[in-house]
Amino acid sequence: MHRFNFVIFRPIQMIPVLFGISLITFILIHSIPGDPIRILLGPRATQEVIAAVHAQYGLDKPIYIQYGYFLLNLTKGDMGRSIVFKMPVLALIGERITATLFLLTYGLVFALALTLPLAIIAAIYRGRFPDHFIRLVSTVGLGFPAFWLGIMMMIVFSVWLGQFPVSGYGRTFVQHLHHLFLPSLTIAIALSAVLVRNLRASLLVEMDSDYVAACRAKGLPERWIFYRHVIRNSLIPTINLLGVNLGWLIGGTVVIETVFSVPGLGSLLVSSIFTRDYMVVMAITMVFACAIVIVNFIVDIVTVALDPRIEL
Amino acid sequence: MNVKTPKIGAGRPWRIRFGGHPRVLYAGLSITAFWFVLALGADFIAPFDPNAQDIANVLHPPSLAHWLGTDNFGRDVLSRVIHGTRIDLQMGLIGVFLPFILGTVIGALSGYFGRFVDVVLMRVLDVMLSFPWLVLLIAIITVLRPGLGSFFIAITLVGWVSYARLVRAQTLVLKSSEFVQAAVNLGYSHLRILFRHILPNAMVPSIVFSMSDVVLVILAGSAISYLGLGVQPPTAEWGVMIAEGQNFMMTAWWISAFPGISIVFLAFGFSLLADGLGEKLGVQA
Repeated sequence: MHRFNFVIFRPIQMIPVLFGISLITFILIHSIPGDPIRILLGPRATQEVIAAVHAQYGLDKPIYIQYGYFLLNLTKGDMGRSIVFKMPVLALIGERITATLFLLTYGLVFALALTLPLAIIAAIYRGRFPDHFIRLVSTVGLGFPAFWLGIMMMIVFSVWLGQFPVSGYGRTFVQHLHHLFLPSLTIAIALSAVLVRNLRASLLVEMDSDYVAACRAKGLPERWIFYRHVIRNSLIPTINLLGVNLGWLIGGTVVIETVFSVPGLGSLLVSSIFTRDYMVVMAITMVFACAIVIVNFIVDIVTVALDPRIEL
Repeated sequence: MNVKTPKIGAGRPWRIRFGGHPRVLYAGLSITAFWFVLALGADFIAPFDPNAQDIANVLHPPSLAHWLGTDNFGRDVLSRVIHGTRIDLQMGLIGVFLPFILGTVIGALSGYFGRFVDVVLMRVLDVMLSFPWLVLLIAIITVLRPGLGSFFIAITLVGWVSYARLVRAQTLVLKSSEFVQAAVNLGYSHLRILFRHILPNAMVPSIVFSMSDVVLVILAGSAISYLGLGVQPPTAEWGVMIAEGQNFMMTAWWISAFPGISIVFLAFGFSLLADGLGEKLGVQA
């Protein structure tokens, strides 16, 4: 199984990237306007108290030592405290992360359900009406602002038709499915526009390749060739694209959570900006970045599993 | 040997010949030209002052007097959409131009001189690419305080990465090509070779990418403004208008609907431009 050796070595290569992420986050935290201790203690604190707390948190030390403290705290799972919620940031993130994960997974399932049939139809009817139509729609779809699409769907499905709730998350699993239907559909439509174009292109490349001709010569039925060979091979670039687009997908989720008031990390991020709860903003940014590094690692594993020729 | 030849005819983007059937390119050009005219002539084309309030005509649905209706202050939505073109188009163009310049210079220097600079750049790229860029954009704007200026700074700090990557890859290929060898043998300086000989050829893929990047930047910019972190009300900007209209979506759908349609249509123009240009220059966007 030496093809899968990278599963062991890649995490080691990921360490410098994770360091970089923490460094950028640290620089951002440091550039925040105003003195965090002053904000923490309130306006009535005296100079001596402020100086004492500065010393207590190590803020009077040189900047590289402060970065060291920052890293040390990270290894202990300490990302600071939220000023607004009066609790550790990590615990707060833990509370909110389920809604975001639910929304992302739900959206991804929808996106695949939309992308696969559309791309396959476009590729089968290459150069004919269904193909042109799907390409036109997906090119238009590239420019859909997700937040606007969300509001339009609310107007049509919630206000006019009264089918789905306008906001919230619900309590039970079924309620989650109901509440997050429109938000995840919004995310899926925006994502599918990118994926359909890509999957169609790679389907066409595969359909023209030599092994398809070989299968035909062997007398295999077209359906069999298409579903057993072509699709499997065309999925690899699309899955990679999905990994690349994850950052973009998370960005979309942040906006969509705000549009639909879903109590996830994205809406927390945006509301924390306005309440100046800076530690929360930076911690969420960092959590998202680490998530992307990990997911891309998983994408690599899936790629290798799908295609025996690929070695990483 | 491993010498790669550059694609013939792939260079000289400023001498595009319009032959064959570049219908996609023409369609993209016409749509973007439409928006440019609208932006430049907004003062003459818009029927009303975009910020003039008319309390007697609040939340009017589309009619002959107000083609796209009025908002909660009685402002004419059509005039606001037309004036919004200025801000959104400017957002897309400047928001691509600045990262384009920064990324091209960094990518070219890194690809040409290589070694230590290149190693550092590659690691920085790895790190930057692992941040979700809208979230990083939001985090930087938070530090800089909300506003259009902060948006431009943030998009430059975040967006240069793609251009640096594209230009670096092209520079690496072109560095070993024959015409560059010839320039070296003629004794030209490094900077002359890099900026006069390599860069004009290395920029083709980034020019194609920049067209689709305009779409991404306009979407990001309007989303940032929608969240209240970019352009501030009462300025007529499409994202701001959509946010303002959301409060009245129960009764007045037109306030949010039309600015959004404008974004879709403007973005469509640039997407077509990217597709058409990519086909023309033989580059996959």
